[in-house]
Amino acid sequence: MLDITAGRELVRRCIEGRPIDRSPVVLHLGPYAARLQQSSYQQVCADPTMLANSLHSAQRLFGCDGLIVLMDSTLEAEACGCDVAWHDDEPEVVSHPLAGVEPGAHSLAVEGVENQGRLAVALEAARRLNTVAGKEVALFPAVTGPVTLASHLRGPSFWADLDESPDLAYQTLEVAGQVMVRVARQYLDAGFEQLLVSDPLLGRVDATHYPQIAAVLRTLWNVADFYDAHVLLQTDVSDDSRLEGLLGLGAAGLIADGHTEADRLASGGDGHSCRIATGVSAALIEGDQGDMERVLSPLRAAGGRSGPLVACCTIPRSTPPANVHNALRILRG
Amino acid sequence: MTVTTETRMLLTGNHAVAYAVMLARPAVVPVYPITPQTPILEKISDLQLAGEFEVDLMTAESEHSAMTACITASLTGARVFTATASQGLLLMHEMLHFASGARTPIVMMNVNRTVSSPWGFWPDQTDSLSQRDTGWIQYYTESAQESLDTVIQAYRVAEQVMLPTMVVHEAFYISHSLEPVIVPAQDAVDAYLPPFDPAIRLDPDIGRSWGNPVNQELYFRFREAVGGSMDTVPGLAVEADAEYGRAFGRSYGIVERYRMEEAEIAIVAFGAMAGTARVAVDALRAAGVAAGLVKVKLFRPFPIEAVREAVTGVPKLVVIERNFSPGAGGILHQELKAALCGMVGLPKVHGYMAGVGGVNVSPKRIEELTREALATEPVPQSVWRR
Repeated sequence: MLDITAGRELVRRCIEGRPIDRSPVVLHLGPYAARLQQSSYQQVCADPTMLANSLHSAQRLFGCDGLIVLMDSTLEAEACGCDVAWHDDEPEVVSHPLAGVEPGAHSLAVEGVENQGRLAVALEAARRLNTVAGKEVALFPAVTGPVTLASHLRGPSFWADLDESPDLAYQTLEVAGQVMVRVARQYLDAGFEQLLVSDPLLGRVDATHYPQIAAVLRTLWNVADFYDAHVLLQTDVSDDSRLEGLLGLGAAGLIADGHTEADRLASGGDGHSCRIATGVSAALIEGDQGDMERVLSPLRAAGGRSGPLVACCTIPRSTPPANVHNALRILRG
Repeated sequence: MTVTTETRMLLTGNHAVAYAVMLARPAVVPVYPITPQTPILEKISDLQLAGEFEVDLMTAESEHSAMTACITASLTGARVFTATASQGLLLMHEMLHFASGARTPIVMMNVNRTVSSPWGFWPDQTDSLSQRDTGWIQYYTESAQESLDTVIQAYRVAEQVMLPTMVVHEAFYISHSLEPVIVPAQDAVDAYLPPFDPAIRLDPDIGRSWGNPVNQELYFRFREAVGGSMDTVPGLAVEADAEYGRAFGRSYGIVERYRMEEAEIAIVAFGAMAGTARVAVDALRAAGVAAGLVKVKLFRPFPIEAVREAVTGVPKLVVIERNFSPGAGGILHQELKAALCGMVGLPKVHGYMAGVGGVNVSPKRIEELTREALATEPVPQSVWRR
């Protein structure tokens, strides 16, 4: 029996495909952590001290193996000039700076984007968390993937471009990729050992566009290699036919949101260097505890072999903390 | 070369001190060489040999003897300078108490170096801080320029309160690093620092004596008098610094606030660490962190009122320092907490012993420690951080 007590080591072993005793659990606690502090998400996102403290407190409360620091695609969008409106404490992009313009290399001021808006707060909070918790917990600062960010930057036109003028869509992807790499470098320079590329809309893109998306992502993989960091890719894989293509995009691991069928995911990962992780849905974590037991129990059978990593990327604010504790109990056996 | 006009030179910290000594015109310099102080002695010797500096440069057989010579010379009414470091300062210890009790306004440069054992030559403030109860005024500097300016100011203050003064900078980071330094003109320094002319002095024709046995009551009064003089030092030091600023265009204060506007955390540091912390504060501000720096320049007497004023309204402080008092922790950390005791709106105070033994503390490391302090609650003890 292996004796791995630090979540950081467990997660790293899992991503590298080395033997582990159990599946590591990675949580995204962003807005939920704010709620636990009885603060609004909008409030904590304006203050690095509040944000770092809320995430650190929540991490200590649940004792998860890994923590996604802040997965919020509106951060980069806002930093790039998108207007963000808040409804029920949730940010929403309401304007698109590349809508109606040629999305060339000079259409957006990428330099200094990391110092803009809430993105600067998220970066600062992540640095603090890394200082106080990075030795024990695997911290995954999240950067927004090219498809989701391109969609924010160009708006609905991006999706029309993909069908009618793919070159324009690829130019937008290129700009979004530059932002992604720039933000990722900030995290890697701060000493993070792993990153999460969160691209929820990637799963909606037809696989015929994957070569162009892979080219945009390759720069990030190369940068991460330089820093000896692992990068996981997170997206919604509601269309099973796209799973193979997504696994081939070159990430160290894929968090397939909404998929909890361990055997299928494990077999889907075979034959790829990419380790596949499973995403616990919001409905599952919030819902009936019997269902959670039934769905999550098979995942802990991973003991003694590699993976899967279990990630819960969305915890609805109404979720009782007991549900999160219960999920961790089930997964740890 | 007599400095007839203000001159910009490239000098090490130690050589800048030697120029300051020359400009202050001490009559007697008893000194014993020790690494990393020796370049001060060498440069003074060079200046003397070149005919630029008329001084009785005495090479004693030990630091203890050097300090004894300083005391005696000072009692005769001579302006006196000496310099030492580490073990040399510790060997002087007995006579440091004597010097302050005898009210001799000696100015001494101490170049901070680790104390043994184990043996080392690295910057560490424990040597001078362990002398904090000897009755010497202590200034800590962060650059060659500041060392030069502070030595001149030190004479001004010391001779007003008749207490010895130690100016301290750290080995190698300051002592051996070359920096552009503005060396003031001799005339200007003469105007700022009039000749030392004490009303009471050791004179065989008059037959006064110092250091006699006294009864309890008289001893109490002597010590109380030293304390009373010490209490006047912060005010006099501020005045001396302000006048220096008017004369030479540079002033430092006794406690400096750097980028403290709306600060949510202040790094509290002294010596070379303060210089590094400035760079860290700039980086933190650029990252959106409302961090500032409080630099403590005058350490003895500890400027309680100035420090309390400097940190008013700041919720968190993080002391990052290069010294260690076994059983107590970081010395600035302990002094600071005592100074803030009872303050309304008391800040939370973190204490990190990060540079002990000369370990390099980079700006990036100071950023990390500041972030750690922001993300955690302080403990009463000082914490080791490698």
